[in-house]
Amino acid sequence: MTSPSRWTWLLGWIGGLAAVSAGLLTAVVGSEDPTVRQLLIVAVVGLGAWALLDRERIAGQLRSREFGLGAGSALLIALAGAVAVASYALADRLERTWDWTSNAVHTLSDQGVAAAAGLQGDVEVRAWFRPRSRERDRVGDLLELYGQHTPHLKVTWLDPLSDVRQAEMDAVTGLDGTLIFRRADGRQQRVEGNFDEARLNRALLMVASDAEHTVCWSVGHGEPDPDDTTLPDGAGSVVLALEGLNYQVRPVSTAVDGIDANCEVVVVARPTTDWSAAEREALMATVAAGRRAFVLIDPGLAPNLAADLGRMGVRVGDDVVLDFNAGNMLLGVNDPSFVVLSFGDLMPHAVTRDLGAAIVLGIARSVAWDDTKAGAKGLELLRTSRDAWAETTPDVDPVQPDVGVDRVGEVPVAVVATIEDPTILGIATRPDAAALAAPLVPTAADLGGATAAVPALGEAPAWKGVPEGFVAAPGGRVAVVGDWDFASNQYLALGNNRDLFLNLVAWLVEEEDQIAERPPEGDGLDLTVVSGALLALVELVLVPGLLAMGAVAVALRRRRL
Amino acid sequence: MKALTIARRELHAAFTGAVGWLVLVGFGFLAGVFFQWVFTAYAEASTELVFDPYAAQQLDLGDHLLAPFFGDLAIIVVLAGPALAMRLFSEEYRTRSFELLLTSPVTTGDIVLGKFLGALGFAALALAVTAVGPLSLFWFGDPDPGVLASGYLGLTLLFGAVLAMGMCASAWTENQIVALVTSFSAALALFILGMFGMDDPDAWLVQLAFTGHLDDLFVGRVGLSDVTYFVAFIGFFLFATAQRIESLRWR
Repeated sequence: MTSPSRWTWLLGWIGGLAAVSAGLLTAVVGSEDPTVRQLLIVAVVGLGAWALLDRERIAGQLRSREFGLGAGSALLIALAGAVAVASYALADRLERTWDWTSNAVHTLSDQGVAAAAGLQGDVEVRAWFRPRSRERDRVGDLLELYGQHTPHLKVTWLDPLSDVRQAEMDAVTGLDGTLIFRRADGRQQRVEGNFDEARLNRALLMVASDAEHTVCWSVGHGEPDPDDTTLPDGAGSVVLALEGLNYQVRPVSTAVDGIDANCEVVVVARPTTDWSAAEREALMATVAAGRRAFVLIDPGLAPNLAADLGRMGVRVGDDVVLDFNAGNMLLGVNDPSFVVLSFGDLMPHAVTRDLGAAIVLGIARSVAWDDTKAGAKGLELLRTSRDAWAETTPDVDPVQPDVGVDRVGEVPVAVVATIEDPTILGIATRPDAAALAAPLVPTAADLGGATAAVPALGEAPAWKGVPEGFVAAPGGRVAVVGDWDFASNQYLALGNNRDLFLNLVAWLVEEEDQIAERPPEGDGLDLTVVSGALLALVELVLVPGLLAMGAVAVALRRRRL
Repeated sequence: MKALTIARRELHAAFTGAVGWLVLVGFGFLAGVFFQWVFTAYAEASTELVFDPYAAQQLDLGDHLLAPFFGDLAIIVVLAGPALAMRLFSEEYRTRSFELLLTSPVTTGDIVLGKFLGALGFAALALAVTAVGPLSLFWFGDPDPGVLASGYLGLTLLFGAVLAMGMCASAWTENQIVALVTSFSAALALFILGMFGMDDPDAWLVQLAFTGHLDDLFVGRVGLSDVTYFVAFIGFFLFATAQRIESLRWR
């Protein structure tokens, strides 16, 4: 019969294994799991039985010299383990990192540091991301960097699939990630889709700022509907983007209500019918009073408004820009009336600093800066490639540049300008100033034809052109783009269109610090079929082959010996 | 100094037989296959993304080519490290040459450190073989040398950690297979352990795992805590190995 003590070690092993399993299970699922308790019981019973049955052998081992020295050794190893863990914990606490990349892509820009350091009160960051997603890791890294410069950022990670009710309350509808920066007083900023540092900086600055900017969206001339987020031509998406950045956007019927002093920026988006003389005068007065105008004007539309912009030094061409750039063809843009602007086409300016990708304009007209204009300072912000021209007779075949008439090569399509001397706008000295002083009744044409609400005869309201008490002030800003389509629902998400629009508005309201540095450009590969095959040959054949020859040489030498 | 002599002897021994060379052949070939894999995927992605300028702007060689490649290499390191380390002491036990080493005028520390440095030297050569692909990127594009440097620093530290653990296992048994299986299981566990706690980057499982400390190194960000993790890990296992060898002296 087999002696029971011969197999007692097995009990010890079972007990030990159960103890280790219980430890691992506790680490993974927690100690509440019933299996952990069962394993612990097995461990206690197994080890206890082993100790009881094998007590004489264990006692002998404990008394041996080897055990004494071994125990000392084990203690030293445990001590070394503790030192290792403590060193790591200390290093982890110091949170010191070095960015070895040449573009410092893992370091916050100065603006990012300033945005984080500028937070005065706590900001809750509700980060809605799927666990283990690449985007979550990226955002997590960025938030960690911000956290190194402010104690006020409190990040809560949320999963839109696990916390459905909260997701609904936060209006999180997609799984691509949503960041909500929220102050204690409820002011908040949302970032969705793209989570580069520039956008996060802007959101942080906006949530920290108490400034309120009012953007007046001109209506009544066939402009795109600011509430329409569904039709391709609508303006709802861009208005939502503005509102997401805490701009107050309100529609203004300039023909009926005029432009009041609360309008910090007046957006004139693709008027299909022209502005009346009175409205144009009100627009000039707005800029002359030191406020801002953002005009997006498509080819062939609103000729009087286009002409009046010349008073600010902005020359809007009566043409259509055609771009035969081969690069556009490669991008799949075969229609030359679509203008795709790449990095080189963006002039250095606060607005273009963070625009790393292309700008896609629909059918555009030229917008140039008049260098001879005194009292204003302007810049042609966007210029086409050299393969474009401004076609003044697009309906005449063949479509080709008319020498001496059409502007050829690098056609400007957007201008930003600052009015240093408001008198150049001629508000006070215009010949019809006397007429402007008296209440006017706008004509149907002035009001935008059929698209505007024409007051009934006898009920015509007093026209509110140049506001009473108008005082000229320098510093008015104007941005004119020869295209609306880039900001429409259909095109807003293309390239950097959205950022161009938002940056222009940020510049107009003098919030340039919302615009971050341009992120590093992507890396392309100058790869041909031959060079790719050559690389494969070197990597998979040549290098292993040379090493294999070394093996053969050594083997042969050993055989000779 | 004596540790360096032992390291040199170990390194030399690796190349006096065909096995060391063949290990390099396998290492280089596997790395080549992995590199071709990520390289082709990157080239295809960069071609497709000409239609998506924003996404193209996000595509960079560091994050989207080198980091995945380093991740693949890390798997090879976890596989190859225990195999390289298994013979360090087990072989000496088996051939009875260990008694000779113990009676020679070298300290236990010299023996452990020398063998570790020798193995690490071989590992560094193996990693150098894999650098052919990443270095060729300077021909095709503009990779970030900082990302390359930190990536290879991460791989060297990982190799060091796996070798130290494998050497410790080898010091406890004269059976190379037991040493291999033990250290390979532990290395693999440490490699995949982080996946259990990825919802929370501060979870101790993530802190314990290799992967959580490599991600940043593979994209050019060198964290003090990540480097300390590997150095402390290596130091602990070298110390444990030294204690084991020391115990053999007094047995």
